[in-house]
Amino acid sequence: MLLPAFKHLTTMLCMLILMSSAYAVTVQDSKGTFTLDHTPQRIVVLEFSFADALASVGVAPIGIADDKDKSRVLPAVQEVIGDWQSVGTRSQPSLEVIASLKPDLIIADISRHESVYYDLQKIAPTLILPSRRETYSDNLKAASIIAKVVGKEQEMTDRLVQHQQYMDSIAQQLPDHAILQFGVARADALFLHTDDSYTGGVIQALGMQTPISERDDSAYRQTSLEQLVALNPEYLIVGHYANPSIVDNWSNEPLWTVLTAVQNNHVYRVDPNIWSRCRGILAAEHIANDLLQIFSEQ
Amino acid sequence: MSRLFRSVSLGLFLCLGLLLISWWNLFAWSVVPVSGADVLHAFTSFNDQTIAHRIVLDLRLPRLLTALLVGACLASAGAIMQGLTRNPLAAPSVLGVNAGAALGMALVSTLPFLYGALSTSIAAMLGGGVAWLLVMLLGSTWRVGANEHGRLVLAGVAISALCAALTKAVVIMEEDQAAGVMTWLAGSLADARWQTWQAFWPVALISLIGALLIAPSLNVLQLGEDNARNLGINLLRSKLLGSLLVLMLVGAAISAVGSIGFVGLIVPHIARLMFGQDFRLCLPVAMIIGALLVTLADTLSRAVTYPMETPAGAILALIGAPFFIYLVRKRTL
Repeated sequence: MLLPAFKHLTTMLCMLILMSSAYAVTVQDSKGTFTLDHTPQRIVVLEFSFADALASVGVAPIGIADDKDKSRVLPAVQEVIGDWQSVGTRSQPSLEVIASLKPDLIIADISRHESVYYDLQKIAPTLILPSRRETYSDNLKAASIIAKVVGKEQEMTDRLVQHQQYMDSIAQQLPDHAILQFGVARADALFLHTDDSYTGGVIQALGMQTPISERDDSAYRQTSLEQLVALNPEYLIVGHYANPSIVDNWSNEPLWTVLTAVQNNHVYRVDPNIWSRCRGILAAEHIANDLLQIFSEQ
Repeated sequence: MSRLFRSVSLGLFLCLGLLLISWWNLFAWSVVPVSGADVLHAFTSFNDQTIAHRIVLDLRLPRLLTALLVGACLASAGAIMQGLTRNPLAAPSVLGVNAGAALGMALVSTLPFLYGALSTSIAAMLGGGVAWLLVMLLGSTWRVGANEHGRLVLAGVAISALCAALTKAVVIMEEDQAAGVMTWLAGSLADARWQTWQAFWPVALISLIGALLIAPSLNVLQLGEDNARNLGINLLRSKLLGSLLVLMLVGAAISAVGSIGFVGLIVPHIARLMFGQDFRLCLPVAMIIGALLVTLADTLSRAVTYPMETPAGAILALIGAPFFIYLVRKRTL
């Protein structure tokens, strides 16, 4: 007598579980179709751009591959997400630490982590997207995909509209079509970020231009002083990773004074971590603010 | 008489070639247009408002001078090594000196606790010295009568591989510095400035003069160790002095422009082919040919992926690797 009633109850329970898992979300990532049947709560990200995307919709990852240096995470991102556990460097994240965090979603970079993709999948469902050498529009696309997976699709759509409006409002206060070159300087090499780079894309989104060169096939291009003289940008913005950097050394050379940007005092220093490493919606807005400050001080 | 005439005319021909290539190096494949006439005007009637003149005097000239001296240093280092070990395959890049110097330099430029403790050139010399010592011990060159070509080269290859692996590990651990170390490992003259030249030429010049001075004892060493000892040569002293010179030559060159291989291997052979076995004649000729080869490689390094730079070391490896295989295959060593 009791048995059929019990059966009925289990059927109903099963249906309930099925209904909740019918929530499953499917997106296209760099390896094909990615499906997740739950809203992730414990997320580990292996690049700063992914942390930025999560922070933009108010989600906090529990672990970040932050190169064991918390200051590398954008301050605006830190404000939203609070504290997190470091899972090692972006180039060599520690699989053990990631596993010990018991994540239910890992977000990895196709450029850096393709070789450990299958190992990551054994730990938790892994969403793999472009980050290193990505463009500005790639970055925004990746942010939308991440938001959909974490169940914040609508929030991200609103956030992107707001972002677009913010960038447009800054663009109106910046000079149109100014030719601006950004680069990061290490102790012995200068790498210019071309129009195919993330920062190049942000500069263009702000209504300015990056210099056109004959050979633009990579995001970052190592450049000698001579090539810089040939490029001769109107404004030169440099993030120094070293002190003194190669650009500091160049500034003592007579040839440096030939540059238009030098003659007009249009050479500026910015934080290379924010301009080059962070990448994301919040990072782009930080770059926009930096540029606004640079141009309003003139 | 005809032999003397042949040597003198060959020598003049080489010097003329060196002069022409140097001039070509000063203007060829410039991103900012520079003509051959600009080069001459930069020296005769310098105008500091002309960008081409500035490029010639501020960028090209120190780069050319460094290339010339680096070539001379590496070629004579190779010749001395081949003389000391009586092994035609001996060269700084084959016997681990380059790889050891690279490791030394990578260590001081990436490990925080080593920052500033050693200058990069001293680190390069120390690394090269330790690597070479290990190769000599493994190859058992100090044992009397043991002079197996293959053993020494194998030891060199093994130590080079070890050093390269360690260098790679250091680079992976300190990814931020990786780009700089990589550029440096490939060996490029693109960043050679007056500063580089000023730090480089005194050590290089002293070592080159030293190399010319030990040429006679290298000649005696070629007769075999027993004969050399009988002729009153202090074997240990000449070997130590020769080794020290090699380390100074290679260390100075490597700390100026990075790791450039194969010059030390190829050039002494060409010099011997043209001028015979006498080190007193061979060494200075090897210096000229080395200078010529590196300058040529540097000029081409601007052409290959114009307007970007290809490391000159890569161009030399392209020429050098087949030559090395040829030498190994040739049985009449």
